[in-house]
Amino acid sequence: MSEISIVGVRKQFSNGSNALDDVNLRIEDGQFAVLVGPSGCGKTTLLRIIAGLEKPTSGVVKIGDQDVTQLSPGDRDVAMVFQNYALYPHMTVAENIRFGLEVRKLPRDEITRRTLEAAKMLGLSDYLDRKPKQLSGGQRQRVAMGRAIVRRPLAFLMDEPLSNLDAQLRVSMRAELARLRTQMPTTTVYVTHDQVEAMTLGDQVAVLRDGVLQQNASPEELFERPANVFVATFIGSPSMNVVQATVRGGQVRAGELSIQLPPVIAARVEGREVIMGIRPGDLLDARQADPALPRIEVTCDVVEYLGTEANVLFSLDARQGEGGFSGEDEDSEHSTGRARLTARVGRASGIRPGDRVPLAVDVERLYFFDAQTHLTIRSPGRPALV
Amino acid sequence: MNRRRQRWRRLWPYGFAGPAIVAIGFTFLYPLVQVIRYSFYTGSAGDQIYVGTANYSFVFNDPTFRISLFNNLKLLATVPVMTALALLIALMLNDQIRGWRQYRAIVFLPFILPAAAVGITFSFLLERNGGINTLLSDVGLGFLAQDWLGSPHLATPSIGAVIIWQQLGFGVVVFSAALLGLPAETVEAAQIDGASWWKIQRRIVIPQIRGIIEFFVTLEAITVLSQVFTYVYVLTAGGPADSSSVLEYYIWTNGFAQGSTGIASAVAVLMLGMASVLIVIYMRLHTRNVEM
Repeated sequence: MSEISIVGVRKQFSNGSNALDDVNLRIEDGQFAVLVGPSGCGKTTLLRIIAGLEKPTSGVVKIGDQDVTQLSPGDRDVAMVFQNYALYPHMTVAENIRFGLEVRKLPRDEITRRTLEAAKMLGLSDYLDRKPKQLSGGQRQRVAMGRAIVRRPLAFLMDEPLSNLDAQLRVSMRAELARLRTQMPTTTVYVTHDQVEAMTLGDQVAVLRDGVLQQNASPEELFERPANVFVATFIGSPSMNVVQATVRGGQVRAGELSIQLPPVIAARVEGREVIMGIRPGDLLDARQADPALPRIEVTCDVVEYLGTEANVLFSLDARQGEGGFSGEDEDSEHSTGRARLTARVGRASGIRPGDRVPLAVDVERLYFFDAQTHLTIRSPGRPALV
Repeated sequence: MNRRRQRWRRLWPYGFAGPAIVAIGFTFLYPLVQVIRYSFYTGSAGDQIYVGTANYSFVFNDPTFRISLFNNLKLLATVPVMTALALLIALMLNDQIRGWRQYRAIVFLPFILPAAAVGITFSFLLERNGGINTLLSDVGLGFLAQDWLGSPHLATPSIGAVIIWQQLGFGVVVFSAALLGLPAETVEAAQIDGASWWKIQRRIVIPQIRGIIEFFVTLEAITVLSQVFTYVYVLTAGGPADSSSVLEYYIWTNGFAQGSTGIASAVAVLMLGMASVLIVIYMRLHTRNVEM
């Protein structure tokens, strides 16, 4: 049993800043849980608290049935893969891998057997006598993984293990991680700021923002039923478009934009100030879309050609929805006074910057969030999309 | 025309380096050559007689030289002691215990004091009725009181203790700086692996600063071989009966007090040889570390 429970964990640093605020999280035995969020959201702090490298200001960490909050890192039986790998530079690959077993005083032949086994599993057999600086980034990453798996711990803790790799290697290592998972179904907590990693690897994904857990759910649930504007805009690439809107007489209005809603949806948000969200993939090239869908006409600012499809960036005379994730671009989005939106269209659309583009809105896939609380507005008894 | 310009361009950098080369030549190479030359002569400047290797034969047969050399070798024993102590203190301060910066400053303080002032202070503390013996008597350990500087057996170890006291701070600062530069993650990884504090220091931390430790050991070995004159001069003046003399003091006695420039130069050349051997050993170790 190696279920991990985080109960009411708070972390306040000596400078008074709150890194984590009442985080409650449960990771079932054998689950691959991803902690995701923008820089400074507290995800690494939470991982370090689970590892025992940081003590929480209050709250409890349990691994299995044992309260490990006050235990030292070495007594928790967890293994950690660090962002910069943290390999021992003066030791060979074999020495790096076997160190944790030597410390735990396992029999010598058992140590050798496990070391060779891990090296074989990770394709490191030919590099056992090399020092870390003689290895490529990907090989170092594998050594770090080897050091963790050789221990056969109760849980793996991984702190952005792929972030130092180049884009191509990151993709292949991601696949390798997924393969390793099937071979070793050990409870894993994985920290990343990359939502693609989070969605592809995680059984469950916990989204953090400013030390507060926003939502903990399966990747599909996060994408389809985000709890609030932040999760909605953080998960999914490109981000969900969000604009401030008002619903009156079955019509949602956002600046120059006006869309007639189906009665069942309109009934739920009628008369409210809302933040309306729509994913770029649900803004369709009107020339190829169902003619029954409501249309808007926009002027294309930028086209990002992606090969199989293209992102069409445009702006609307409407207010950008508040409370969303806006990355590094926080100020500029609001300074223009116009909401910036993205539509994802097929590569054959032939749209060029400056073109007037008719877009169809898939109204069934509109999201509505409360303008004040930024929480998703759901129908009673309707847990589906909206 | 073009070829001339090219040649001028090739020579141009030497024009910048030239003054520095000349300055180094005059301040380092010229005295070095002169010392080596003097070691084959006897008599004072202007009235020198070539004696071949007679000065070297003389010093090797001189019991005071042998005592001085042996005392320098004895003082070399201070190097592992001060290295181990400095390393231990630096490792403990590296755990960032409350007030570690202040502790480090306190430990470093003796190093910035002039050796002469340190020597005079300790000559008062270590004399027969000095502070240390008084303190030992006051705490009921009077039987441990010794004539620290007056006993032929204790004079050199006492000088060694003063050298350790003064040089320790330098070691602590050098090692602390090296430790601060280490990534915290390797220690954290070892903690998660379940290693004890001591095992982390021994297997993870110390090997990572091995190059700095070797550098410190070489530097201090050269220091106790060739830069301890002040301590000896102020604390014991080489006594009693030359028992605490060191090579530098031997050079000073022969070269300045007795005017035997040739003998002093021969010993200086021998010291330079010993220091060079240490430097070569260090360079070999350093090259090996870089290759590893």
